[in-house]
Order: sequence, then C-alpha cells, then structure tokens
Amino acid sequence: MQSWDSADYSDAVVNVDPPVWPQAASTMKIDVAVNKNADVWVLHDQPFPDYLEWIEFDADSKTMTFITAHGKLQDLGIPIHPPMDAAVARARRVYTMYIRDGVIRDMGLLALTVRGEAGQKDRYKNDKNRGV
Amino acid sequence: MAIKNPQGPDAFPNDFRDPDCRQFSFAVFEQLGIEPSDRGEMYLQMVKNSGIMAGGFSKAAWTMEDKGRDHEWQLWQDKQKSDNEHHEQQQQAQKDFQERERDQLQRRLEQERIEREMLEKKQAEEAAAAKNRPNEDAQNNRIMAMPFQMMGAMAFLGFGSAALEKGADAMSPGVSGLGDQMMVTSNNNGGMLDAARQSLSITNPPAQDILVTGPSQTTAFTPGATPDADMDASGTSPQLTQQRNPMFAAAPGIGGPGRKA
Repeated sequence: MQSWDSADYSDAVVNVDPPVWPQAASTMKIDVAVNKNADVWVLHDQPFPDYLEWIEFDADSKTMTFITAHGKLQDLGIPIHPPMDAAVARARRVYTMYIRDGVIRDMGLLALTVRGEAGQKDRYKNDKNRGV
Repeated sequence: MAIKNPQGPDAFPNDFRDPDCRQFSFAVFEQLGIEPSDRGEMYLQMVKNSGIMAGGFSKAAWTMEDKGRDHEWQLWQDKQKSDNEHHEQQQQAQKDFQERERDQLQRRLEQERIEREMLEKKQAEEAAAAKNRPNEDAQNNRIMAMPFQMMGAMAFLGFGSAALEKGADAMSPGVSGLGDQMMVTSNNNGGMLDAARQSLSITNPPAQDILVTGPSQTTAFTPGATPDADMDASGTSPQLTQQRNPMFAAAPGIGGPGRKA
C-alpha cells in the first residue's frame, strides 16, 4: 500500500471556491429598513453577486445573512442594533430594492428566516398554535 | 152648442194640442158651412199653416211660453259658452306649452353650441400647447415605466403567470410601506432609503424623522472600507465582486432570468 506523502501535493493548485461572499456593506451602499408592520426593506446600489434565495436574521448575534441561489452566504456586515433588531425579528418577508442613479432598477420579495430564541419568541408570541 | 175659445175670448186659437181647441175649430168649420168630410182636411191644413213643429211645439211656444224650458235653454247656452271657453283655454295652454318647449329647445341647442365651441377651442389650445412640449410624452413614459419595471422584475424573479398577475399587489406593500415610520440600519446614513423615497416621490414622513442606526452615521460610505469594527475587510473590494460575477459586469442593471434581488 502506497504511503501518503504530503510532498506529492505540495505543488498542487487547489482551486478553492470559498462559500462566503464578501460582506455586503463593504461592497455597496446598503440600507436595512423596517417599519411598524415588521416589513423589512433591503435597499442597495449594487447588484448582489448571485441570485438571492432567502435572508436569515440571527436575533442573538444581530446579524443578517443573504443566502444565494448556489448556496453561498453573504453577510450584511453591519449588526442591527436595538431597538430595531426586535422589529426585524418579527418580520417574515423582505423587500429588496436595487436602486442606481436614483432609479429603482429591480425589486424582489424574499422570505426572512429568524434564528435565535429571542427572535422566535418575538415572532410567534401572538401565535396561539405555536405554543411558545 | 156654445162655442168656447179655450185660450180666452180674444186670443187666436193656436194651441192645437188642446182637445178643446180642436173641438172649437170643428165648431167654427160647421158654422162656416164646410162639409163634415172636409173638416178634418181643413184642420190639418190649418195646423200645417200655423207653424206648429212636427213634435207638437212651435219654436215660439217653446221659447216664449215655457219658462222651464227657457231656463234649460239658458243653461244649455251657458254650457256651450263654458265649453267654448274651456276649449279656447285648452288650445291656448297647448299653444303656450308648444312655445315653451320650442324656447327650451332653442336654449338647449344654444348651450350645446357654446359648449361645443369651448371644447373645440380647448382642444385646439391643448394641441397647440402639445406642439410646444415635445418632451412631455417622454416624461409620462418615465412615470409609467415604474410599474412595467416592477412587472418585468417579477418575470425575472421566476414567478408563474398567476403570481405575475398578482405581482403588482404583492409588491404594492413594498412600495406604499416606504411612507411609514421606520428604523434603518445603514452604512451610508440612510442614503439608499432617501433615494427610494425620492424615486417614489414619498415625502411623508420627513427623512429627518426616520431613525437611522449604523456605523457610518457621520462618515460617508467608501467602497472597500471597513464600515464596522466587527467586519473583516480582507478580500472585499468592488473589483473582486465583479470578477467573481462576470454576468453583472457584462450586463449591469437587470441581469438574466432567475431570481435576483
């Protein structure tokens, strides 16, 4: 049985495709807005690097993550501080607006998944069938 | 046989309805020596010459002597007069109605003519003004482009036709809701939200009333810079993003089919 030799691979070129895109706030102007009805907007001036499938919000770490169609992740890059985080944790959908040169170029409607116990309590506190 | 005039000793016996008058007449005929066979014929001739009407009454007797029938005659005359007056009144009323209808028709036609002239004048002014505003259609198209862009975006997002028909309704809260009070986390001091509100002509609530939180409330956004101390700035540049995403670099704006935000 041939033994494993790390030297055989020392010059190998490994094409690594990292599963994480750069943080959105470092590549584009981006706003996350929420109103009293827990409708969330993500307004950005550059297109996302890939099609978005859904958006996740971690109520504990106050971070928002965009999940792309090919399974990659892109973090918002800005923590959502109180008191706004509680409002975002109640949200179920996100409107995305791609605005360039003052004109709305594109618009989308995405599902929002909320992680974390705090978010679940806020989200389902009025849901009798949930029992949380 | 005593001859007695039933209408008085000096009156002419002209009321031949009275049996006494007939008897008196025959007595006179007898005194005059007229044969009995001729007395009936002579009586008929006398009745015929006296002017008695076939019904038994002469007009003179009917009008001058019968006071009750004279009263009915007067009533009949009054009724005829009243009927004539009523008929004349009806004719006058109908005439007035026709004149009134004709006047109203003339006034309506005149009013319609004035309105038509005003409309034609207004249309002519608008047509003349439209010639002086060649960019007006372009501005309207720009306003109308917004819903079509949204519908096109829905088509790109891969929704079915049924969802596409409801696309405007599904997106409308996303547009109208931008007029609500909201909180914003931003790396450009809420500039993108302001751009969206300006694009949709939303002025209420005022921008200064929107609570903006985030790392760069006082500093402008710089691509590639670290907007927050928690962020890792390595490998985050616009050039790298475009290199990894050639489709967007080749076709900026709305990309190809699929779900894109």
